[in-house]
Amino acid sequence: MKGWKKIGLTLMVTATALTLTACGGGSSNTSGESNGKVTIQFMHWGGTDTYKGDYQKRIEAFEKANPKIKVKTITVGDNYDTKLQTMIAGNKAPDVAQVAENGTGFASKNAFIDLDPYIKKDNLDMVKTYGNASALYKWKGKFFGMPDRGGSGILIYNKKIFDKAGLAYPNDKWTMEDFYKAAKKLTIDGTGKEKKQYGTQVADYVLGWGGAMMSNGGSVINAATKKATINSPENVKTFEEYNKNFKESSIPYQVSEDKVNRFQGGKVAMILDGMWQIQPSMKLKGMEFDIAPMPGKYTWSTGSALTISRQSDKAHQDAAWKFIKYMGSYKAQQILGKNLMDCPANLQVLDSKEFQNQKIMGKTVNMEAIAENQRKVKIDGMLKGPWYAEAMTETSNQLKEMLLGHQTPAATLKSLQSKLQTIVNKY
Amino acid sequence: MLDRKMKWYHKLFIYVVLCAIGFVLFAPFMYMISISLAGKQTNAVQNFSFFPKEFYWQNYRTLFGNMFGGEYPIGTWFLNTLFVVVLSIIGQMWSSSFVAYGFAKMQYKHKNGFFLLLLTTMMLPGQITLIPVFIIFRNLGLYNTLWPLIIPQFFGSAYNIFFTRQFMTAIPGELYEAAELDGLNYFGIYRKIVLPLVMPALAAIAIFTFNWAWGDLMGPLIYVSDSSKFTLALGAANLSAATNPSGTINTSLVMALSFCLSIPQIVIYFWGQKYLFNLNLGLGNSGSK
Amino acid sequence: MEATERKTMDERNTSMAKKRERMNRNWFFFFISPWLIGFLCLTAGPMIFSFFMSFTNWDLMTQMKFIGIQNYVNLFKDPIFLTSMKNTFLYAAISVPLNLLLSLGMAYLLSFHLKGMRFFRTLYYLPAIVPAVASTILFTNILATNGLLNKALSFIGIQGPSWLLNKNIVLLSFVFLAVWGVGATMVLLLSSINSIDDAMYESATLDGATRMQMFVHITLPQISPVIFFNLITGIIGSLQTFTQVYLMTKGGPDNASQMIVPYLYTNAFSYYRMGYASAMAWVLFFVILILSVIVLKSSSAWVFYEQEVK
Repeated sequence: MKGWKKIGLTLMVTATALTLTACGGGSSNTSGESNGKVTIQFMHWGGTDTYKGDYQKRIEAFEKANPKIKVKTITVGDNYDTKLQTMIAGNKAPDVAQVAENGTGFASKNAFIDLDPYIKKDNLDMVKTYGNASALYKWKGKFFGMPDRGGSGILIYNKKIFDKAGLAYPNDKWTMEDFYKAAKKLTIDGTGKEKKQYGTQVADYVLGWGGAMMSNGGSVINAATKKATINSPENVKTFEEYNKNFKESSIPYQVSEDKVNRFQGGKVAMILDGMWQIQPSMKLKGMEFDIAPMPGKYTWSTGSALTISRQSDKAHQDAAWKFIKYMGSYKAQQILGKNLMDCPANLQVLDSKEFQNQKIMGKTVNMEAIAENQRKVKIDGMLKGPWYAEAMTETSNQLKEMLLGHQTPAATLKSLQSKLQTIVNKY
Repeated sequence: MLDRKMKWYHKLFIYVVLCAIGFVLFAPFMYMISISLAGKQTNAVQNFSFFPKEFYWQNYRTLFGNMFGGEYPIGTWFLNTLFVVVLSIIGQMWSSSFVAYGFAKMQYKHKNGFFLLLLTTMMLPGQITLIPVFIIFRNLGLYNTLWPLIIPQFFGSAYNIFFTRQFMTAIPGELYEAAELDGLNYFGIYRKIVLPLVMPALAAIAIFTFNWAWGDLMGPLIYVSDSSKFTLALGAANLSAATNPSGTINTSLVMALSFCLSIPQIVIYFWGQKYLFNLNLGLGNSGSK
Repeated sequence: MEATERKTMDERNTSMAKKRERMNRNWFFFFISPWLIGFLCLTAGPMIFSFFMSFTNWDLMTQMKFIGIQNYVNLFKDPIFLTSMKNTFLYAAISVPLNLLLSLGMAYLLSFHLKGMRFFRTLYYLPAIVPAVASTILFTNILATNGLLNKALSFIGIQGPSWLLNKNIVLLSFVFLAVWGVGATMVLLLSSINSIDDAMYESATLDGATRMQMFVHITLPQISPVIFFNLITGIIGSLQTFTQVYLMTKGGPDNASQMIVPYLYTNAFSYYRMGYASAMAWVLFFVILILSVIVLKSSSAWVFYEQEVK
């Protein structure tokens, strides 16, 4: 019993001491200051590394240029949508929130302000500056988000593998057929369950199939008519080819599910993925790679934008506008482009010599491909409605079943057609 | 259990079984340690081995870079976590023993009804009451503080109350009768007789509360926004978060973090065993000898 | 004279009984007050609120619309919900008894007073404290087609399946995960086994009882309240399985491992359907309630209380 008394006492003392320290902190949720200063809250996902790589320097530059505005950053490592939704429901929404494909969902629930009046006042040409990708951040014809991170897909290829096979590197003229053909040639059978070398690694991830589908004239959903359009003759052809290529020259799920990065291990010739693959590949010893635009005419995008909350008052909204306008500006986007964690959304930056001539970690890659790629971005109707999350989940599920060989492409598209239509009808 | 007169082959058999199960349960843990020590090259390729092949301590050094400043003030997070954990343990130990005593030994005709009500609070998944509860705490002005994580602990959790009640029902009735004859009132019985007897149960509760509060992610995520008020688990989630949509994470860092996070839990458990399993503190020797 | 005396005695007895009853009641409320206050302030409100929400199509951001029992009707037409119901029950039906049996066996083994027990107790408890994120990453690695488990199986000549890709067996992956984390249940059982009075075993030994007989006739009845507790909380916990599914498979492949709470969570926080998610939560609530009442009613037959709960 004595032991317990001691523990109890220790707990009590610690608790009191800690209470004192905790209360000393006080609450700091007030943001309406005197002397004309405004503190805005900015929330983004990802972790500490994302903050440092993508935002920190730009925010510091902004605060320097606007001494009356202070930016308080909330970094959300996980469950971003849950946090944002709780904050909105609790009337505590951050002044500026990052959104991506989930943006339309929130916008359709009236969470963000319409940016058009600000855009008009400041004479911004959104389409010219940010290209077609900006269409992702529109709801009912009005902008709710300022494009920030570009993040279209990109073709990354292992030069050594191409050299060894004596094949020409991928270029901006490539179609999906060229891609499939090269992939097949670069696949080398092995003795065990795993092949010696794979031509590519594509799966149910949209950056792989999205571009192929759109380049062949297909689409998933028509947002204007609210009709599922996935079961079209073009798509049947696209997915039959995609499926065939997957079987012949891509890493099967049974192999890839161990999460071993076989591209960086030098066992895959080409991948269709995002910018984020570039930096880690740079760090690898003995890895020689380059990038090329995605094959085909169009590509899917996974960019993100910054929005302004409807719950903020006018002063905060004005300050928030200054902030997001700055973040998307040429100057700030140049800073973002400096480390290629992600791709700037601003096309003028992508086209600039300053961006294209830079070396990434002492190495040069084909930076022009990035600008080229960002121009290829096309926004499917699937991304233009609040149905995105549900529709994408179902589509990936079914495509995975197809790639696993459990159902034919034709049957997959047929069942997807009715499932997607049911989903779209719910909204 | 009486087992002093065990034959040697009985003992051997038990040890063999214990080791076999132990190996299976420990294997994933071993794997975790091995991954946490993998170097950059291995990490990029994600080709990990079961036994550590390399010892890249940098993963651990990264974690403890700057204890109280910078982007990840681990020291501050640790103090925040300690604050939440200690108060939660006190709250749970007090409330569950107190309330459980009411349910186990008090007599009231609608007691079973109340008990069922207590159980029903476990039956609605917490995910659905997340937002209403958030709104309550926001209205109390406690948003962006650690109190929403602590206050509920003082009201007891159905799980712990239920467990303590089950433990109390196994206490021999004669003990109470004797105490009543000694002229103790119910509060006195609770304090002098019941509390010491249910200490093993409360030790279990303390350990579970520690684990839960130590690792809770959803609570801090919802209620806290300033990184100076983060708990370790939340900070760890940010440190190890994926930097891109395809979810590539620094697996070694995650494992190093997880390993460090579980060390205090192992220590607490190892140390708490003496209260959990020691017969001298339990029912065994207190009554009938 | 005698009659009146008896009458007053009776009166006094009944009034004393009443007084005692009232006093007992007051004591009861005194002791449960912490929980009761918390229930009234923090739990009851949100529960009622969510029940009300289940009759609306609210998304928490825009105007709420009352739609009657439409959500409940839609639920039983939603194939994914029906699949997740089936999966959840199947998982619970396998994992709860398995977990209970294994933890009981382990607790029994660990209750022997042998050298090094403290080490084993800690070893067995280790998995229960690995953070969910880490254990999920570990298990996706271990259960992969070329993973640790299948490598181990191939040693004894068995070719393991693709645990996480095969629709028919993907649920087993969660059973593995549950079995691995059996330590938490084991602790509770072990601590109650250890609280059993040694004198009971001593007198049984004198009567010539075997180890097995002692286990069945002393240990089991003595710890039955805690077994009962583990059964109820095991049912509730497994029917509310969330983290594992959410982190490990996201319900895939093709919803073959989808369960109620992760599906509910996705509906609430990704599809903006708070009302619909609430309806799901309440269906689950009533299912758990019914199961719990059945177990509760059956408990009097097999749970042994030293002092019967009156």
